[in-house]
Amino acid sequence: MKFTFKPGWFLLSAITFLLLQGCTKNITSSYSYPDTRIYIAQRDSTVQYNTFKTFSVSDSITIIDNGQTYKSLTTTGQAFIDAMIKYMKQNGYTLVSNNANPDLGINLSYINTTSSSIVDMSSYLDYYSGYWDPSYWGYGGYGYYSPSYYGTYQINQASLSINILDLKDAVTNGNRIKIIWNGLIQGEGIDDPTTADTQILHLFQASPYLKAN
Amino acid sequence: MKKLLSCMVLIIVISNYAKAQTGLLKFTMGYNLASPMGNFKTNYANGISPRGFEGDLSYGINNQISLGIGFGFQDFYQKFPRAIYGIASNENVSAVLTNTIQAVPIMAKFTYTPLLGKPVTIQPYFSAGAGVSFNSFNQYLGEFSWVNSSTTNLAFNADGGILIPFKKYNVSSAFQLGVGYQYINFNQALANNLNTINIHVGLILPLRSN
Repeated sequence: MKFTFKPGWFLLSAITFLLLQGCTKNITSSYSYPDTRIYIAQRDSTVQYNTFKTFSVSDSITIIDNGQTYKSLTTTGQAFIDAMIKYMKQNGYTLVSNNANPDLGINLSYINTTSSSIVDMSSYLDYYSGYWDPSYWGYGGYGYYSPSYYGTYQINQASLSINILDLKDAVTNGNRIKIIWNGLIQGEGIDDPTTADTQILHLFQASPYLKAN
Repeated sequence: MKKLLSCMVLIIVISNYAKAQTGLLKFTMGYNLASPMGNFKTNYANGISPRGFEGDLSYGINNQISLGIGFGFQDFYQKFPRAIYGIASNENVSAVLTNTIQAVPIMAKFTYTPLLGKPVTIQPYFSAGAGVSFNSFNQYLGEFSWVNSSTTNLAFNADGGILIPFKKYNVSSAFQLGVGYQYINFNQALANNLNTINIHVGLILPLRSN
């Protein structure tokens, strides 16, 4: 038997390799910034949200930046605070000041991490308690706690976390302020103030139970 | 004399066809379009995938039958508009959902060319294959990978089409056009099978001959 190797073999092998390398579609190539974002709404299933009537929102944003934590109020932060107020009101809740015994407190936090990890509320609450003293809500000496909300999400960029706190039942909850709702926003360009309203809207759309009536 | 010469040419032609692929090792490489079907189409990817290729390495047992190894690659992609998904009893997520599936089937392949050995210009062929497919499935919520799995599943293929030789009396190099059906036992929650109708064009080139 005579064996004759043809140059076509090598050519087509090279083509095969190139096709394997280049044939997979890059998912982000067709994504706009809004497409990259996810809006996760997590709730305490034991809570009846229509038992709360009033709310108050913190006057600034907690920035948690790779271990450094501070409060800040920028144009972006204010846009998110305004949007939260807008949609809480639309859902039947009444805005009151933080010293008027609101049923609900709302805090916003901007979390910036540079490594992949699981969203871990326990370490987050350490910062949270330090910078949002429960005395702000008129519950000095109380602590925060949370049910197990969090799954395994890959965090490799900035996130906006919004917590709704049960102030009304703090005493019956053992002198603790329970976090009864968390909204988490992740993706590209979340710190754009012009999209704050839409981003908060997505959280409320994912939380149809969040109504006072 | 002229008639005798014509007869001699015809005999030479027929004898060339008579050993058209016996002992010939051929390589086929082609571009493939895959159209999902059934639940695969409904739940994972509803558009035609233009990102694929298929090929085979085959050895001619005789003029009608060749045996070999078939292989391929197909990338499926589907982006669904933003919607709200329940990901746990107390969690909803609003996201653009994207599915990507890459399938790499490798199969033992049988090809039947009923008219090879006869002096016809266009050769029909039929082939069937059975083997496994190496599949990778990724589901993204936004830009975040939500499901990521790799599986190896049974795969079957049936194919038919035509071969058009480049040289009139030499079928070792040819253009191929075919339509086929491929079944991959995907065994995932929303689709048991990756069923596709495939359309492909390719080239057949000789690697070695006896």
